[in-house]
Amino acid sequence: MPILAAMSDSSLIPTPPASPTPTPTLGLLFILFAKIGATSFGGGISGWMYRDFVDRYHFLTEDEFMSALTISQILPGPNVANLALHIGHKLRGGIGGLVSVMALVTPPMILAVLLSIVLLDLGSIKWIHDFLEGLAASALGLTASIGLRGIKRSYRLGLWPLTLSVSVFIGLFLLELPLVPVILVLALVGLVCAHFQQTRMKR
Amino acid sequence: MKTSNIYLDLIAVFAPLSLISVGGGQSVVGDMHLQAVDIYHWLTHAQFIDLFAISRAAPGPGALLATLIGWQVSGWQGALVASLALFGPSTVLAYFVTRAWHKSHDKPWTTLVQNALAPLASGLLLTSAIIILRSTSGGVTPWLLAAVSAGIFWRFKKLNPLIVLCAGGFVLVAARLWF
Repeated sequence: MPILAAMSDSSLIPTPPASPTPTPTLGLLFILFAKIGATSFGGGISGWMYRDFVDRYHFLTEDEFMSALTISQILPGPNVANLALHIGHKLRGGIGGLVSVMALVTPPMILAVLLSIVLLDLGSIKWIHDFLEGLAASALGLTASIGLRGIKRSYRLGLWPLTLSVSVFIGLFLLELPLVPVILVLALVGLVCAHFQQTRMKR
Repeated sequence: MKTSNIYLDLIAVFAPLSLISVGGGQSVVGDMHLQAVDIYHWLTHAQFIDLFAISRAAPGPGALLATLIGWQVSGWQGALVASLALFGPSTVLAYFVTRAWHKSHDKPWTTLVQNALAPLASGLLLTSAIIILRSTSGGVTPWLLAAVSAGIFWRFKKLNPLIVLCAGGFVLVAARLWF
């Protein structure tokens, strides 16, 4: 057993610390992700993952986490589910990835349904709907601010990213075109632009 | 493309969104609204807003909105089908990309793909927010609230969003009481 070997080693040789990347059990993975999923009120899930997996348990280095975050943001779908899959897969293989996603997603699903049963039962009370409507409006502000921040960040690459963002808006909102073809076409345009930029910068 | 089977309808709506939601689940909320309210008439706009607010205030990924819509449409089975449809395809894709990723260590393409898709995500997030705000009948107050909280989130990056969201709720309750 590597742990026993490490213990007996460290009793003989005092200097090297315990293995830098210990591996969690499937049970611990499940508990950690379930806790993050059930308690992350107000979002910021990837921040919680960072705190647990990098700072607290040292299962991942900062660089490993950041590259996992990047790939999970490139892929479509809920980013945090992709991130959990990536981390679980890295630590415990395919089954670890599956366990991590299930643990992250299931508890909040049950919580959200229960919450909506309670609130919508009270939905006939006018101020509860008003409260939810105000909360939704603020949440839309949050969504918009993330979009604006993204536009500001990609402006460093030139004007083409801004043109793409505006094209999404024109296509979906003003022209009311269907989502899937609009995104597929613009993704292709984006890849071509990014490719040309990369080859030009290399020269 | 309505079918007679409610579960097939749920899959037809959410599974494509799973693979097209670059930048996370929030980017396709606008399309969810279009499909659930305008095309399939599963919900009224007011119900959609309630569920959206709950999905944002509850812990966990905001994509739980799909779970809640499924639940509203046909109970626990609907919730399960909608969740699997929204989380399934993207998770399967992520699984295979993750496997390939852990095998190869030369990753110059990630920057390229990220640079290419980030502007789409930004555009989708903005458009989603505006599409849903447009269909609210509550006058200018929700627009004002959204603009003010966008400003707050822009300025204070580390703020726990739940504080601002709940404040938004209370502001609207107060506004409707007084005006």
